[in-house]
Amino acid sequence: MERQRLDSTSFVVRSKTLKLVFLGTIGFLVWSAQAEAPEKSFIMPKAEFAEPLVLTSKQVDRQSFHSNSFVPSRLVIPSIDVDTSIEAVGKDEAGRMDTPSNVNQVGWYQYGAKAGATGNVVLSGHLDDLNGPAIFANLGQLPIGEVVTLQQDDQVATYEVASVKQYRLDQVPLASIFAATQAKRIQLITCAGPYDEKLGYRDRIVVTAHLIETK
Amino acid sequence: MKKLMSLLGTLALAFAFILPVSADGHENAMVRVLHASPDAPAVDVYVDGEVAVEGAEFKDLTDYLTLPAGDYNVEIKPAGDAETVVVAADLSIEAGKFYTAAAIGQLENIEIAAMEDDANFEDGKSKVRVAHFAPDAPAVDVAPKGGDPLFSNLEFKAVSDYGTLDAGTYDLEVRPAGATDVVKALDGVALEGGKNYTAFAIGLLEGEPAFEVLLAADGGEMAMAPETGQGGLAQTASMNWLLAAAVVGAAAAGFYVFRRQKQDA
Repeated sequence: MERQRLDSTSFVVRSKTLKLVFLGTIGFLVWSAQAEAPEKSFIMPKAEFAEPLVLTSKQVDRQSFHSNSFVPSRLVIPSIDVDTSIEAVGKDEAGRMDTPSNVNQVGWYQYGAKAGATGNVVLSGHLDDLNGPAIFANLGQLPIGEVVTLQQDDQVATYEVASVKQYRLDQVPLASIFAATQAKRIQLITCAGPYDEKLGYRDRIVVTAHLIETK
Repeated sequence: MKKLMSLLGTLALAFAFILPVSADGHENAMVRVLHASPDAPAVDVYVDGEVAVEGAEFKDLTDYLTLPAGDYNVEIKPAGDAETVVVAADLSIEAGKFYTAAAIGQLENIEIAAMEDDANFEDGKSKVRVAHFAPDAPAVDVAPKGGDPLFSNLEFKAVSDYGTLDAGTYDLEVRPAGATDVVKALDGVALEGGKNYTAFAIGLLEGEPAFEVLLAADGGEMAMAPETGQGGLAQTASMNWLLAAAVVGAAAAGFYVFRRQKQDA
């Protein structure tokens, strides 16, 4: 008798544990479903400003556009151990900015600005490949104020990280990244968020850094 | 120049028919805002009742914003004052196109001027236009130093057509229409090949803020966000998560069983 009672108790306990795990799972699912639910189909983007180029009659450096800008061949971000070569990319057949064929390199958008120039210098890099981390696996952890440099032989353009933002794919501010701007900045893009077999990653991380020096 | 422009116009039209909607433009249009009203305060810009630009001051030109194509009501309000509408306008924007909406004129006559920006680029060439947004300035010509006008007889509110120039650095001058005296000399204006520009003449000839010319690059080669992951990290991450959950679950179960047995004993 004694033996049986103990058994039934431990059965109850076990099922209680199961219940807890079950309830926990349900709770997690409800919570994550809420977190995943798109709050709104369209969110009004906020515009950022850049200092406009004022034309004057006494321009010391004559606004020369070619002296300090160059096609970058190397990207260095010391704080996340990135030091890699750059492949020029365009768009894929779906109209997306292309990515480099080597997941440990980054792609430079050839229709955007050159390093050091006015405009958006756009770089894409993989978060991961099929097996594990790729060149931009730690891009999201890049602290504000860190230095990013683009190089080509002895030419160097140095940028300082101003923002690290994560967006749903359909809310990435494409015009801020790809359209003309008066700012001199780079936009580093990689994937983020939950992964879906069919849809790929849900989010994109966009790191914006402003030019502080060219030499 | 006129002939060339109309030829370009025809070409653009032909292109429009061949390529109905570019895949990269999505269903979106790109819009930016210029504050060119010399005596207006800093403003907020509302699009369909939602704030899109905050605290724009005279001479500020925003980056382009991505907006779904369609009809919008644009309202300009003093910065931080949601109740007062300084000026409002309806704006119709088409997918894949670029626009600049400018608040122009002095505050008592302020209005919104909207223009479409050229985002078709030509290798080695720069397409340039001039927008006359200086309310007290006469009609002007814009010409190379001492040369024939590239843009003539532009009055306040006028936005010229785009003209095509070879890429390079130019010394230009703004003159009263038909005259040779110089209102403003613009030396060393650098125009990059494959880019288009608008020169905005803003400010006041007599008074402050003073007359000046801003040069902005127009349009851009839009793309959609790149596909930058293949899931390797997510699979490892979720495996780790499952493993962690299993460990925690097992520990919790063990703990309960252990406590129960202790209590029963």
